Amino acid sequence: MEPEEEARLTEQAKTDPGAFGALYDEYMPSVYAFIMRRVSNRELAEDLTSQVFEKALKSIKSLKGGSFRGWLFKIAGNAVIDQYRSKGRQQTSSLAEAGEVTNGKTSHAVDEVDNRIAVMSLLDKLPEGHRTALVMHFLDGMTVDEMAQATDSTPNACYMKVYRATKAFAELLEQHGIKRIDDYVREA
Amino acid sequence: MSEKRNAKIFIEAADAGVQPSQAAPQIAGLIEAVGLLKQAAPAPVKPDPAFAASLKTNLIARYDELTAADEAVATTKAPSSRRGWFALTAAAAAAAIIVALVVVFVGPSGPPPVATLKVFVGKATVVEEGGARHQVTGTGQVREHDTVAMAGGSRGQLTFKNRNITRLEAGSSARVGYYAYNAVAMELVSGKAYNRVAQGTRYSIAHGKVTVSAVGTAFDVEAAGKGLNSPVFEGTVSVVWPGAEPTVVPQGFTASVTPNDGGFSIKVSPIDIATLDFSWLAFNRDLDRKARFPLGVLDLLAPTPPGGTQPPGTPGQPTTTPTGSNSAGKTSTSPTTPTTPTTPTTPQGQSSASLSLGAVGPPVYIKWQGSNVQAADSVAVLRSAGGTPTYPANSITQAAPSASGSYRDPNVQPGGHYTYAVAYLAGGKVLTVSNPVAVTVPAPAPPPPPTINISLDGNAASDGMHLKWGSSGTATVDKWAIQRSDGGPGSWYDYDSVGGGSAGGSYLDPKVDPKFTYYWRVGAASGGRIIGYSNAVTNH
Repeated sequence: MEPEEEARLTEQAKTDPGAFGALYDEYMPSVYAFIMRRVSNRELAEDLTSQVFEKALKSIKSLKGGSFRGWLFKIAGNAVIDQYRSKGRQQTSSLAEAGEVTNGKTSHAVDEVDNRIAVMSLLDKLPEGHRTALVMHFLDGMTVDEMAQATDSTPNACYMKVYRATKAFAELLEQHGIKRIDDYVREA
Repeated sequence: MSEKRNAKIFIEAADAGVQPSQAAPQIAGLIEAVGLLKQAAPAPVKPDPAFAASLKTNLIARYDELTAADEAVATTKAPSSRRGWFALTAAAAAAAIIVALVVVFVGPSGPPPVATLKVFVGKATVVEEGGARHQVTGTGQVREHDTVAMAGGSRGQLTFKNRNITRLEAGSSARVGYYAYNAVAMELVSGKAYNRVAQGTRYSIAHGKVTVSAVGTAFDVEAAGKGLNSPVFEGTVSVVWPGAEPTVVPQGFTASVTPNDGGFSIKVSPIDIATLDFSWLAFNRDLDRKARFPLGVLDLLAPTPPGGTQPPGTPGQPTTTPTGSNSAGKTSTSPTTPTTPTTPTTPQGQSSASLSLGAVGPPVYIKWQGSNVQAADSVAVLRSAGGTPTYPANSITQAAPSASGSYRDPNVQPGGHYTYAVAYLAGGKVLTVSNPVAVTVPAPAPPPPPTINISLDGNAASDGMHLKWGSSGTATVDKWAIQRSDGGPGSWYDYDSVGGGSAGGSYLDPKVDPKFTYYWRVGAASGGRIIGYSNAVTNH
């Protein structure tokens, strides 16, 4: 959805349930996928998704400016954090697990499965901030501006977070022989 | 070159899909790492269309109520730190502080209880998420995230506010992972749990990475190393672990999940009588019967054992597998409350036989044991469709005599009622006959309901609204119902219909005034009812 169209629907959704329904249709799948990447349970993901859209409706009248999608991700992130708080870190899934569960596929048949698992395992080894930055930008598809909105940060800070997280990830891949990094990648 | 500049160049290149070979040298390795990440990451997960449609309907119906709240949720719930989500550790610490403050200012009551714990004998320990421990004898309260550990010789029952029930065997431990008005997610830490799922709620119980979930079902889950065993007594459950398709396990069958080459393998087989803990099952059967729950095959599986229904660890508790022995040929009956042990006695030298039921499929498995039957020259398996079977009228097969034996009867019909017994014979006369056991063979699990996922596109043109849709799923569509709403998507009315028989269709609605906003959606009719709707589209 183009930003102008999203902005128009967002304003309309403050008084028109139909416009909110259109925004829901557009963004519900990505919000659900976002949550599912972070929790290990389809039922829990459904409950959190319900909470996100209820909270969005409750507060939509106070939304002024910014991206509706980024704002939704912010609410979704808070819902996941609440889940972290209440259940502890160990209750969230690794990304590899969450994806396999929800895809409903047995990836053992795939030739690259070992490599995939190794890559995703290394992602899990990154510090939380790095991991979150990589997932938000490259897997959830959030723009840097949306990340900034969702995390109460600035676009410049998000550029740096994504960049540094990618460097750390690339180095981990290299250390485990999954990827070679040329010397010129390392900055003095 | 500055790090900031490199960061911007890198992200713009990565977002534009630049290949490593085309990238500037200082970012080529990073672009390659991103490529590896995207390749390795699982595809985004799509929501269940039924859930998506249901949630939308619910939200639209509550639009006025929810928007009236005007809570500005996002700003009040967000972490106060500028680091936001990047500081989950800090968030966790903040949460701990919040919890502490709540305890100070609100008192020690904490979050509301979600279940009542009843300890039948002995005691249980409830461990709160923060580590506080409470001993419970009689009854106690359990909150979300609490762990309940049963002492040896003690059994307990968690009755949730949403009417789900989890019973824990002696020495078992389980955590309330998640609770909502319509859902419970338990985590079996160790031991065994019997689960009675309330209608209209979702219930799951996980052991390690393996999760068993059900709707409206009674089933047992026993931890077995990293795997588990789960016999299903009533209804149907689904067993899943990361990377696997869910396996549906119907009533009368056991799912055995075992670790296998870093993953798991599952075997679904008729419930094997030899693997069942009669004491535990009789305990649950009796409580369920008292509560008037449907018993399913549980009613058939558990004659009252000689060991009664005492939990393991109880002083004097026999450890042998019990059977319902009855030399007089009486029907084994089940007590309505847990009973104390009663050891059957057989006069020395008198022949006797006991019969017990294995799996009820079809086929039906039975198993018997004889005592003092050395004089017998054969064993007859008896089956009747009504009352207690007799020899020779109801003999269906004969076997050589032995102290124990089993028989698999494939000639039964789903839904059929049968009564079995065995007779030890000597010279064509009945030496002794076992207790009869009645069986109702369960009907096969109904096929899953047809599913459909409809994707609708709309294009507003000068001649009206052009609708085009496609679908996927298992349902056969008899008719496509066109619905329109002129006052928001909550006011649908039947507008027109198009013949089915294909996976999609198109429709032109010429009655569109461009000054007004309309909404359209398409419903799939199958078997005389609408089984699913598309997304809604609008002309504006």
